[in-house]
Amino acid sequence: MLLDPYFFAEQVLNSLQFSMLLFLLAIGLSVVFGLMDYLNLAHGTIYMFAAYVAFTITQLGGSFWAALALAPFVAAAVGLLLYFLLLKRVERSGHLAQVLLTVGIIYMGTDLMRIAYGDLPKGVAQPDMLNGAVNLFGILYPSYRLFLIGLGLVVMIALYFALERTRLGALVRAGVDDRATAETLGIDIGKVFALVFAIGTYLAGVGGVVAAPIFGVYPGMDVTIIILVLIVVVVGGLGSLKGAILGSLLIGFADTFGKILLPQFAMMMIYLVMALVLTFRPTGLLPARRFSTSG
Amino acid sequence: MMSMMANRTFVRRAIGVALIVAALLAQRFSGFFAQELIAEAAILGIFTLSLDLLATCGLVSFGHAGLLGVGAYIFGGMTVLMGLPPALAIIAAVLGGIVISFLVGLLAVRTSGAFFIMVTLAAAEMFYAWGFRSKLFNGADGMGGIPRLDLKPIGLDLDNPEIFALLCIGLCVVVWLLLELVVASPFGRTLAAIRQNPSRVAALGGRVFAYRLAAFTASGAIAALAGAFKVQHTNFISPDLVSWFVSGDVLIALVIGGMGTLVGGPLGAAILVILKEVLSSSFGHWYLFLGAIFAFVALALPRGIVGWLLDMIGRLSQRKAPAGMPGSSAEAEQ
Repeated sequence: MLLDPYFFAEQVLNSLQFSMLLFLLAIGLSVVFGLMDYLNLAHGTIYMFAAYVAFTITQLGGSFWAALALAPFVAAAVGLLLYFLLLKRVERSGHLAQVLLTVGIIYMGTDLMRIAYGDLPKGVAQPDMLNGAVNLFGILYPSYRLFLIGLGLVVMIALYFALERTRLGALVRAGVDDRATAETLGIDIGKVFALVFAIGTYLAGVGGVVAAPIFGVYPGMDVTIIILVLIVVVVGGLGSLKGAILGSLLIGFADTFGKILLPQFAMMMIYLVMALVLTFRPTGLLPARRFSTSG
Repeated sequence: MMSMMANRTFVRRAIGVALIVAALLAQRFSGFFAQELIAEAAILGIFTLSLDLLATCGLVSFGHAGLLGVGAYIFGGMTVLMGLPPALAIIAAVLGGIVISFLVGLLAVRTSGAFFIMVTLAAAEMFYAWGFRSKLFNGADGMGGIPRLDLKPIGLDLDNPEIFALLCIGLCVVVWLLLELVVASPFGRTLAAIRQNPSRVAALGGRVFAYRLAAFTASGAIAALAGAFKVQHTNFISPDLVSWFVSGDVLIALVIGGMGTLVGGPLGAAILVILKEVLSSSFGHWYLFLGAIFAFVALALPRGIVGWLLDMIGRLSQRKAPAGMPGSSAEAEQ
């Protein structure tokens, strides 16, 4: 089956498309973890929330593009609100208090969405202009999925320049590598972190909107994705853009090809990849410098 | 400082005794249905203790349901599929827990922190994937008809919920006392030292890897024991036992009660079981309330109920202690 080059190429594209979605969530989680050592499991809740906002916007007659423009901002606003009201309070209480708090937020978020929208999955229509398929060297591939791949690439490149070429990027890198020294030099890491958190939740929101036409919108979509994203983050290594990219690609491919090669044990492939990576690189493939030694 | 540590140990054990008395009173004076809850809480209590033993050396597992599942599936397989006596199956379950956790530990304890959390999750999820498809154990539908330990020769009928609940309380107490001894032993002190500063222990010649592996293996044995009793309680086995929700539950129970306090686990287990029962019978969307309570505990008592009590008592006794005494009570056992 995999020997058919057309089928193979199609699956490669599917993998890429899923990798991009994973990346949109993983980068926020990874940098937040890298910068503040904060384990924010509620990152997926923001993703789910954005998907519901997108659903509401399209229900009210707005287009997909309107949803894509607005919903991530709403998600980022809610994310920041959550951060200042709740998450910030356990910043120094350790991972366990953070897990307990964010699992609490997951439970509340899921039930709130259930109350507001019911248990059944909702659909968000693809934009009309991306409804067709594109002929790529003989493979007919859905334009919407191609658009997703393109979007992911654009975000990756934008983030690369933002991190490597801007002042904020330098502050983030300094904070991830050595927070104490950065603070001694007068950098307000708290402020940098709030900004990074906002950008991270914004991108999770983008992920939620673009995922909605493919996977649907339903309570529990947050948990489904967050496990995969956490795996991406540990496989890639904490706090680094390159790590998040590599991790997303590995897990995106492992998931897609796992479903083809071992349809009964699709998740197994992902966990196998993770076990292998962590056996040889206990801190992930490309972690930020601070995390590159085992602790 | 030594006296303050002794003080903390005393308070922890006093809480433990109070909890045992409360459990026995509840068992004695409550109806049929409450017996099921008591047994459930006691088994979850054993499970939290196994997680807390591992936490002694600074490792937090997010896949402990996998080790619970090892005990559960071995017990179910031996009794239902092979028709062997339950007593033998319990022993086999614990031995199986030791073997599997040793093998998983060889890989897992090389990592720590968030990485350890994810490796253990991965291991458990692989087990879940197997259980989900296993024809032998009826896959996702699960397998019923799992018998309980036969103690009729000594006059105890474990099919009677009251007697089963008592046995589970007893077992939880035995495991707790055992772990109190372990934590106070040189082995336990070394584990605590590893939690505080693994590189310093390594520099002093301590074999960090071996100690962590031993803690993980012992923890697996206890988790498997809890699993063997969990399936006796429900008479039913399914991959849901191994899902990460179960790993999350035990972790949450432990964090609510207070990690690193031993007695906190069973206390948190009792609270979680009661909370779920009360909320689910009172509200339609009860996860909303459960989530709010989790968030509240995380914000108000980040070190758990017992951790909070110990901190408070430590502060009170410090006020009495002469000024300039180094170290707070929190540091003494941290």
